[in-house]
Amino acid sequence: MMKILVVDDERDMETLFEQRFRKEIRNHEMEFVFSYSGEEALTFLEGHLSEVVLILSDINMPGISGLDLLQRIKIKFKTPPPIVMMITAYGDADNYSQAMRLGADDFLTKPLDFNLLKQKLKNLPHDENPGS
Amino acid sequence: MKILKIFCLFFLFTSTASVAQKVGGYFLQLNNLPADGIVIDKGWKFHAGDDTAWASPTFDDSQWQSADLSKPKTYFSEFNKQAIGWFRIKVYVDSSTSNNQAAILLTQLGASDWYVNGQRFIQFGRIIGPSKVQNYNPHEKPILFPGNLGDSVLIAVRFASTYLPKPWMFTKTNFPALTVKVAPWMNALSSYKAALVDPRMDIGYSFMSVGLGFLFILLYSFYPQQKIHLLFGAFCFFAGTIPAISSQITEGSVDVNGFSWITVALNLNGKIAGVLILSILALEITNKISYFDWALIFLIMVVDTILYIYFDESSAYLVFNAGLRSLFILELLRLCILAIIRGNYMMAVVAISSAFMNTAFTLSLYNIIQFTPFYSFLNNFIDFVTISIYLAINYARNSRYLGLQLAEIQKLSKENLEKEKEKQQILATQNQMLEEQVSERTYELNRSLKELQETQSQLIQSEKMASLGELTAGIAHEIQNPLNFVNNFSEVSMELADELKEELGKINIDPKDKENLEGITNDLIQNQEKINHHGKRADGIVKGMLHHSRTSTGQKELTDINLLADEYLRLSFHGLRAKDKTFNATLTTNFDEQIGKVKIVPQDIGRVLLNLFNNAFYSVTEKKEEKTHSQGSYEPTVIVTTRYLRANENAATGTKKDMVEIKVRDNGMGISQSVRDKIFQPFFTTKPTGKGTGLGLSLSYDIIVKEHEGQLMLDTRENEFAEFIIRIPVLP
Repeated sequence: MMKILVVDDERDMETLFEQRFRKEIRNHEMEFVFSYSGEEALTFLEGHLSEVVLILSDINMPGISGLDLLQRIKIKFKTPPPIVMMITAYGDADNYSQAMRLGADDFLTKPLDFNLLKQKLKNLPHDENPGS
Repeated sequence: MKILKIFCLFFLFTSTASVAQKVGGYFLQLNNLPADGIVIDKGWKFHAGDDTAWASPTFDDSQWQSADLSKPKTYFSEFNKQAIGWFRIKVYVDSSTSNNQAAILLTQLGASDWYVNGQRFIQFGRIIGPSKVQNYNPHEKPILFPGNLGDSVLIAVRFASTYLPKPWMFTKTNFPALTVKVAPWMNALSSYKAALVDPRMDIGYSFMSVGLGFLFILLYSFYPQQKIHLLFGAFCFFAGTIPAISSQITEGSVDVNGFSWITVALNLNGKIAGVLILSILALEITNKISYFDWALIFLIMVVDTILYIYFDESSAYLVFNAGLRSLFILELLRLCILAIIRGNYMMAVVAISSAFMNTAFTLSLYNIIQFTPFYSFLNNFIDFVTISIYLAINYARNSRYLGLQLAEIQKLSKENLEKEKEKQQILATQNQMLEEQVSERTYELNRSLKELQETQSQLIQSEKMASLGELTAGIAHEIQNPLNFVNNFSEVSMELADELKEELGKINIDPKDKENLEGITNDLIQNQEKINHHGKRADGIVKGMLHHSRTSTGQKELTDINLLADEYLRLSFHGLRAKDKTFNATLTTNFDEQIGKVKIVPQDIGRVLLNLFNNAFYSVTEKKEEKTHSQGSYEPTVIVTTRYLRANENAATGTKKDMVEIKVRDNGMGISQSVRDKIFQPFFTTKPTGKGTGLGLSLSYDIIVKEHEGQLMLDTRENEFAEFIIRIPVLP
């Protein structure tokens, strides 16, 4: 089972993900964890790094930005290194290049196309996840 | 020459002819008198007072004072007590020669009664009473010597003068009150006649000189700057009065005191004339009267005069006078030399003549030479004439000089006026020039100002646009967030509604109720669809805005136009093909190989071409759909043409540069007139809602016209074709 951490300051994102992925969640294919800030995410990762396979993070957040978070994750949490995808309304070249430079594995723009996201998730390399 | 005699009397001590003298009297040989006569001066007895008894020959005059007529001191003091007195003398006559006539010659200062041997003989003047005398001076007019008198003759002379001088009055005592001479009658008569002088000449000369003097003084009063006029006028005046004054003595009858005054007056007059000449010389030659000259003048006029009046008999005075004269002469010579040095020859003549005359005078005092008053007259005359000529020349010279100066000034004044006029003209023309320049500059400045203002507003506009762009970008990005939720939740809601419908189908309820429920569920689904649809529209608008406000790099690079057009044509075509499998059209390219590379912003021109191609494909697709419903075959075609336009070709370009032309033509729906006018406006679109943002052509217009300074034109016919023509100037 894929444990996915979603970092976004908008709480509606949680509701949306739960509704969008209701089948996958019911089938225990995926499990979603939500953090409402970069700091929360880091705190969670401290404790549950081994569980999280994928992190989906917004960029524009109060507190530390998504890019900041990305940087820290890539530096701090190396074993195992989670996959980080940025989801943001600011799809401009600047943000994109910066995210890529900092080591983001993918870059998605809002409004989020969940079909595209599901496609990408399917194509992720499968690790041996202890939970499945 | 009477003047001669008087001067001689004053300044010469002539020797008297010796006469035989008998004790107590003279012995006169009447027929053997010398031609000039004998002066009877010694042997007289004198007594002041008046008594007719003293005329008698028998009167005893042995107690009387002896008097020498030639030595006035011997009787003057006595005489001055009463102003009347008697002279007595015994004369022996050789009457054997009584046929020859003799004359008595008398000069006197006063009046006298003559008694010969007690008988009244003759009277000269009238003695009326004490100090009441009518003076008469016969001036040696011959009087016949009384004959038949016997051997001895007693002559008694009763002599009186006008008034008794006061003790404080000066009286000259070195000239005789009377002089008696006896001479042969004929000689005496002829010499008297010869000595007669026509007074008219003297009077004439005096009048002229005095008159001239007044004239010059008057001239001076009108123009006081010329001192020489005053000095010369005074000189003429004083010099002119000398003959008049001296004639009083030589022709007229004065008494002792009168004689004194007149001699002093003459002395003063002469000095004044001399001093005036000195002043004139000093002023004209050296332009000033030096202290030395003033001292000299003082000595001459004041000191010498006083000494002359009171001490003229002393030898000390004579020495002083001689010394003074010498100084005077030396000063004259000095001025003469200065005058010659300075080229003032007239003044030199005046100086030398005065010097000469004074030297002669001085020498004659010491009997070295004989001095004649003619010299004095000549000197005055020379001075008079020379100075007059000098003044005349000066005046003429001054007048001429002034005339020249005046002419010069007038000329200068005229030149000045002309220069002034010239200056004015130059100033006027320069003024005009300046005005023109100023107006030119003002015009240029105004133009620059306008340009600047335009640029400024453009700049502000750009700034606004930039900030607006940033703002819209920001807004756009922010809106993406809520849009995200709108779209996604509406989609999820649709899915959930579908599931609800499914579940509903499984429940067993009243079919009517089921229908109801299904209806409500369908409505729900529809609503969500609509929400989703409009959400997507909003998203499209935002994305369009983002595209529009995105500032391009603006860097112009040399780009192959044909390649670019081809690339974006393919892009557009395949892009549309990917979306719509049924889409198809014929692509035709007419590329001008001459174009090569042109400086443009490739991304921006690419976007424009993409837009035009998209529009063209859309239009032909629309037409195709129409045509499928009706008859006829329709071949949707899009043609791209490129061409290089040279500056001299195609005057329709309207510019003087080479241009590149790109034409995109489609045989689609064409564009109606009403649409044509708005086609380049932002947000204007003919596509149905949701299909187009309406920003494509507006953006294309900005890129072509503003960014590349080119032209974007439209040629179309409704329902037939539309052709967009891009023209971009070729930058060097």
